Amino acid sequence: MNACPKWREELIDHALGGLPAAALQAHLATCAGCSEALEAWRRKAAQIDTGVQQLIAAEPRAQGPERVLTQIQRSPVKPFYGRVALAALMLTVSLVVVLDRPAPPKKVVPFPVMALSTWRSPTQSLLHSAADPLLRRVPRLGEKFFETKPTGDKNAQ
Amino acid sequence: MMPGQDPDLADFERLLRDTHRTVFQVAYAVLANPADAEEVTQDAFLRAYKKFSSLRDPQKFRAWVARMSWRLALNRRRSNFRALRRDGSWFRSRSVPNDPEAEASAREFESRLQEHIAGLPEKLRSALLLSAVQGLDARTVGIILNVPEATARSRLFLARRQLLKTLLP
Repeated sequence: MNACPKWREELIDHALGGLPAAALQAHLATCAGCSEALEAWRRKAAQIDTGVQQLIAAEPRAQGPERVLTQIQRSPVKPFYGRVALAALMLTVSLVVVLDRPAPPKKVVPFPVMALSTWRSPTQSLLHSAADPLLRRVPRLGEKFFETKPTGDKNAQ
Repeated sequence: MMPGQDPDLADFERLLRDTHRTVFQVAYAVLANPADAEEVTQDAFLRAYKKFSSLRDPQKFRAWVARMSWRLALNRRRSNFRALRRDGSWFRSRSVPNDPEAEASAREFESRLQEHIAGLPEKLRSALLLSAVQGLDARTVGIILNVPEATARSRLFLARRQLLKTLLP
């Protein structure tokens, strides 16, 4: 049972149920070793499949479904319905809270004339500053508006 | 159905009996322990019942509850991981009756197979074991693993290929 090394991978695929290429089919028609290997590998693949099935072939206890039903009947209220009811209640409460909230106080619009009397153009605030009284006064001789500190420049001495 | 019984419960009971074995085997494929698999199966069905009203298509019940069982079993396996390592084997050995020679041969093959299955990548191993569960087709395996059917088929093929290559002389 010596398969040609060249065809080994394709033979494995074919043994697992893959469709053979025309070239492999032609080769199998003439090569006894590869045909024999293919049959042996098919048997091995079937053995693997059976082995895997046996590994997980445990049977549950016969009363398994009854145990589940007993558990269900112990707590018959379906939490799913409970959750739906709770969600509906929460939605209702939130709607009531939102709709029942007092409206925000309306902004009182003053009578147009009153509004005009208090209106100031923006330039007024830009033209006036806290230094206005100082700047309007005529400075006296030798008077300094701002105290300046000596800079400590050595070259000046 | 008993008189006065909840119609949902009657439907659920019918589906429970139809799928109980499959759901158990899905859990067993992960846990390799019948007692743990029983508990996970029961838990999966209780959860399924709680959400039963949200299941629109009863045709999907098998895949739906099998997926629950799969995920619960994976969670339990994580928590049992130390115990499984201590026990040393993934699957318990089963007895092969009568012929001692055949028994020895079968045990040897089973042991090698277990070893090689344990050495498969997780994705391939999951596809292989789930595909071996009776009542699960490739589409359902895909749903459980959250992959397209073609991917489930491809993983199964790769798993079998890897096993065959390692078990060939």
